[in-house]
Amino acid sequence: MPGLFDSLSMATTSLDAQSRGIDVTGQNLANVNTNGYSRRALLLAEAPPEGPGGTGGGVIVQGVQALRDSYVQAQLDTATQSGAYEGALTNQLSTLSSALGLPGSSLDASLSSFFNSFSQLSTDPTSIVYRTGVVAQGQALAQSFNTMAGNLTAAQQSSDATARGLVDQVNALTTQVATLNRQIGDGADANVESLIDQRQVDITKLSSLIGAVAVPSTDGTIGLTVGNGHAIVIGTSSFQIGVGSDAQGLATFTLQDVNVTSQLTGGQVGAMLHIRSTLVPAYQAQLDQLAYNVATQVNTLHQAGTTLTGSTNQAFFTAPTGVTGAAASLTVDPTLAGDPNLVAASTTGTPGDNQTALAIANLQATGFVGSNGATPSEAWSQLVYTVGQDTASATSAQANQQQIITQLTQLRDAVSKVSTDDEAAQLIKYQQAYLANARYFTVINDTLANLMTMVTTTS
Amino acid sequence: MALTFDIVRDGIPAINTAQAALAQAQQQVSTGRAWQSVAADPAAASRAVGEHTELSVIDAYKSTANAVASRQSAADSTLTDIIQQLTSAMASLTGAQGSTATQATRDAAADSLTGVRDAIASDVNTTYQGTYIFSGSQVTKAAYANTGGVWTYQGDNAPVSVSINTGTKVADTWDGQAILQGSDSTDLLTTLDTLATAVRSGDAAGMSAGMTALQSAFGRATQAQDRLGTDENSVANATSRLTTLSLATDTRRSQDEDANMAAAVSQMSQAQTSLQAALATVAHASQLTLFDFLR
Repeated sequence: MPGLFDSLSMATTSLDAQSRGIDVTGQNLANVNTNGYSRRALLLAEAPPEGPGGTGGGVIVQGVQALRDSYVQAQLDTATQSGAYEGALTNQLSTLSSALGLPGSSLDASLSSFFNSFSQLSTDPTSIVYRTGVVAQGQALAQSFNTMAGNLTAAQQSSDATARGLVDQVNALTTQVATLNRQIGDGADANVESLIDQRQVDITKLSSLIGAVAVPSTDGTIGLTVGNGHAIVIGTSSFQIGVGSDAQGLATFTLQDVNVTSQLTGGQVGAMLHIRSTLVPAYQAQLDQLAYNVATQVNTLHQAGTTLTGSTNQAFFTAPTGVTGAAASLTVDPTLAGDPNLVAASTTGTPGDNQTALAIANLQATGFVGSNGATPSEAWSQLVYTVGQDTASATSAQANQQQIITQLTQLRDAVSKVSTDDEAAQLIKYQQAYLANARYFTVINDTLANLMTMVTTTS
Repeated sequence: MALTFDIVRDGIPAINTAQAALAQAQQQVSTGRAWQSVAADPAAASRAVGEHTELSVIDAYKSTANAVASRQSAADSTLTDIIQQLTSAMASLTGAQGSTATQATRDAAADSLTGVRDAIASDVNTTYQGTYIFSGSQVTKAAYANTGGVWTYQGDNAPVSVSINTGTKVADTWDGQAILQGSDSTDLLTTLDTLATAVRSGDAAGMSAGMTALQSAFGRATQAQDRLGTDENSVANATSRLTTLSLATDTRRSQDEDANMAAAVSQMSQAQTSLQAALATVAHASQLTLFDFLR
């Protein structure tokens, strides 16, 4: 059975413990809005009795624990990288979708106006007004193709530049994670839990940026890999992603001299590279095919026709050198642009003959674009559908992923996030405990005082 | 495990979602469009491209039909005049034939025939907006020219046609020689010159042959006018069909592009309520904590 002085000592320890509890609550409340902060909990344990029949030695503070759920966090990191991927894809593609314009006021309108100008010319092939109109509509169509190709190139370059910038951030973060790994592994820093929180924030950012996968080690460090298991962090070492350029001037990424560009498929970087290397080139190919087929078909008919000056073999568009780049380089033949009389409306060469004009006007309803023989309007609508559907799919996937992220965040926050209500309850709990222990201390102190009085009186 | 409502994590996204829905509904109501980007409804956008193209083609056909209708009207009027001139010529010739006709009568008839020739020559060389309409595809040349007293057809036998609908073509210029000569050995203008001479000299055989030629020309002119009338009907029918088609296509386009205003207004109201609820929830959540009850 402990003596009264032991009881006094136990009360003091208990007061200290409850006071630590209030401190921990204060720390939690102070960090209620700190990004990545994991709620701390005071770990208390009973001080065991010193011998048989003992009542116990009060309470001991075992430590302060940060509350985390590593499984939920790992799931959240995976969901975050998918969400970041779809989000980046959605943002970039939404811009591209807007650049396509709306039906009836985009390239489809230019195509219709161009072919209809030949239809109008067919009603009076000698009309200089209609001929000038054909040239102007040809120039407007070429300009529309140029602008659309420019929009696609701009989207590609923007994605490329964004990927380069994101990789710079990745390199800075991997250095930071390696440094934190060293500090956490050393165990020298008393504030290890804060460092772990900081590291988790960085890892989440890296998941979002590049789809980095965390590989925890038994020594407390966390390794990070990208692509097909290429390490960007191992223990206390980080590996920088090198940035170069290919023949087209687009970024290439290397890790320890290995080109990993095609392996970077996760996070925002993965999205940017997917847009840059897969989606935009596919859109460009569709647009180029349309421009190439329109230019060559119109030229074939036009060159077979006779101009108002009686000449033949006059190209309407500058002949494209190939499918690739046809949309960007499409122009009306400069000679023809300077003299509308060089527009060939006739097949026979007589001034009123309109067979060539009619044939070119009829191209609008003729399937000659691409391998599936689409009309120009159909080919454009296919491109519109492809871009629109890609954007809609990314938007939908992002929304779904966001739901998952929200749910996982709620689960993580239920464990790790500071709740002011919880902390208020904790505060009351520790305050009440402190008051009770203080009262206990007072009782023991009074008892001792009484005892001392009795001893003094007796002696 | 406590699932709590977090203002930033849960409240702000809820507000953003409600605001986005409200903005979308407001945009639909204010613009009348169901969507503002092809990504909102790719299938509808793809269909709308086809519908706009079809409307544009229909407009082009209608424009062509209107242009050719005006030209047909000019040609019809010209043919009517040629037929009237031929009727007048036959009447003059009839008066000059027979034993009762005097030289003065024949001279008057011959002068009348010369006048008819001039009128028909003028008719067949009619221009519309600066081009000759009875010269076939040689629209920059007058159909008939008189050089040294000889009438020559300067056009060709390839009248120009234009498309007024898919697969429907109508003549936009006409073969003057087919009307004034046909399978005859001489053209009507030369016939009238010869006939005037025959009338003036009282050449009965010549007058009889001339009458036959005039009747033949009359037949060709009325036949040409009949064909033209058929083409005019074709144009009128095509214009009517194009108008119907245009309405149908525009209805389809509207279904794909235009907002359902009743639904949009209803959605706007719903979205507004959702936004108010989200704002109120966040405002309420931020007010209530356990600390409020600590004394």
